[in-house]
Amino acid sequence: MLRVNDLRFEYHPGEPVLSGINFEVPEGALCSLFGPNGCGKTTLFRCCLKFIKPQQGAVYMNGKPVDRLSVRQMARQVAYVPQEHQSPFPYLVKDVVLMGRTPHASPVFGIGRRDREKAWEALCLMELADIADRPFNHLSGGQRQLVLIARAIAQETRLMFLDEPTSALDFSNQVRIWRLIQRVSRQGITVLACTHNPNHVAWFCDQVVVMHQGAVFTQGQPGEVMSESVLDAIYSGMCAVRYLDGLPMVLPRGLVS
Amino acid sequence: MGQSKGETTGGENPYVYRGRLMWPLTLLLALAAAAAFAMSLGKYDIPPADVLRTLLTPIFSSADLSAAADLNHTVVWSLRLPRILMAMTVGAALAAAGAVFQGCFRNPLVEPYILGVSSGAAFGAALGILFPMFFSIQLFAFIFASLAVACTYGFGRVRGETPMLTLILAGVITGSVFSAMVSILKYLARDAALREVVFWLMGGFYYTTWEDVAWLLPMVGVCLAIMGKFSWQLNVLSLGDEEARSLGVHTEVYRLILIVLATLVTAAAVSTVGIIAWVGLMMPHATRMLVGPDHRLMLPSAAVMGGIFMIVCDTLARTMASAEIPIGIITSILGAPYLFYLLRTKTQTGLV
Repeated sequence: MLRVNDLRFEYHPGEPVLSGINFEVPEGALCSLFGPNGCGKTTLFRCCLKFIKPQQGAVYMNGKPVDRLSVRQMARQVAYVPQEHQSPFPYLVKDVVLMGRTPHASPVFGIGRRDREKAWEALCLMELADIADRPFNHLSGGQRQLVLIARAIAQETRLMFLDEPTSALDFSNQVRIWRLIQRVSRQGITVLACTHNPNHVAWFCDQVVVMHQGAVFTQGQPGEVMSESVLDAIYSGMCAVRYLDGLPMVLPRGLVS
Repeated sequence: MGQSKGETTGGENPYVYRGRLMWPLTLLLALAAAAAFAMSLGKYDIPPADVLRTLLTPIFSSADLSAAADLNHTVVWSLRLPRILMAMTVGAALAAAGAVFQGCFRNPLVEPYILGVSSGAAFGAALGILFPMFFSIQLFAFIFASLAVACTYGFGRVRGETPMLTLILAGVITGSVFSAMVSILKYLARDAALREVVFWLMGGFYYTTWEDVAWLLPMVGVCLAIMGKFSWQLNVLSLGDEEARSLGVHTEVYRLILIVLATLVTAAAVSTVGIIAWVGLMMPHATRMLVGPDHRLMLPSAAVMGGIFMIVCDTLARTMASAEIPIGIITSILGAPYLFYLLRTKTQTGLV
């Protein structure tokens, strides 16, 4: 579904932020892009979304190189849920979700009835019907994230990218958002989510691409990949992994015997 | 699945916009009322009924050839109607330009004057007035207005972003440079031309003729229609570059189209009636409070509000004192405190 081939990106010549990136996300997977701060996750994300252009290599969505897709075609392939969104204008929740329909809107008539129906479905799916008429800026962090995910669902794409979906949320909201992301994934949408929380990877995802120092360190299923040896390598020996009912739990080393 | 969820939460489909056209229609009525009152008020008062009768004469050609009717006809058709149409057009143009600049720059505190666009247009137009043999006033107003937008945007952009206050400061810089250049022109100008430039710069509708209305009204109308066509894209643009791109809006293309249109109507307005500040700030903000921020509704409503506001201000300008007050003075006296109020109350909450 998503394939990245030998990608290389540098802001300054000779200092690659990313090099030799190769990975593939199979259709329908909930894949996380995991790694410590500054490992190049966000840069890779931005390359995949065509916000920045890599110096070498290519990104394929559905077998097509993204270079060949127009902005509109691209927006029909992949929906993007930003980490945070601050609008200078107090748009209502329903309008924010309706904006997800932009790539499907008719060039002549604009947003139409079908678009409003799809947006309403997305709102209902995220259980946001009650707050549809409230300004987005008045919502709590968790609600905002839900609205942005609803917007991505309204966009009706087969791929969804989420940038640190739970980084600003409390524990219950983190779990809630990840459960919803799992639900999205079960509907057949391929999900790529950036995160730096190893437990979220282990608990909620079915694939993981581990990045370290601008390269893919390893990839595979979280149960196998999120091992002490891998975490030791990328976090310089600060983590211990224990298993609870076969589920890995990542803890700071020295906390448990 | 979605449907059942909607029922359980008791939410009604919010996309059934009931009564969403109420405000625009009310505003249109208010515009008509403002125009009617403006036509009856002035040095020579004409009762509204007579105004209506006079306006209808070309259609019904009732042969009322009394002296009073003749005078009414002259006052309404040659003096007040073109002037009111001009005020409406200019108000609509400036308010819409303000709304578009605010959306494109994601900054609810900007408008053509604050961005320096008006000053740029004024410099171009002043060049045209002083050197009529070389320059076309309107063309040069547009060229220098575009230059001013480019400068302000260039100065205000820091690492791919345009922070709210940086953009305003960049506008102040651009505006003051162009104002200084206008001053140079004034310094160089001879008597008659100097008088003309100074008077025109203060902003006013005194010299409005049907010829001005005949080109400005259709031009602004077409530009506003195109802006309205792209009002949804303006919504998406105001979310920021990356989000807009990820939603399928080609940011460079649409931002360019919208900014060019806003600059064009600003330049047209400034080159015809001089600098009229703050309208583009006050009207979009007031409209947003009435109809909400969705530009599909807000942009046309702001244009109508601008028209009403300008007609009211112009009527005040002509009737308040024995001599006419330049309208730019009135809008500045109202607008500057408005910006102060916005800065004080809204910037902390991020909710302008």
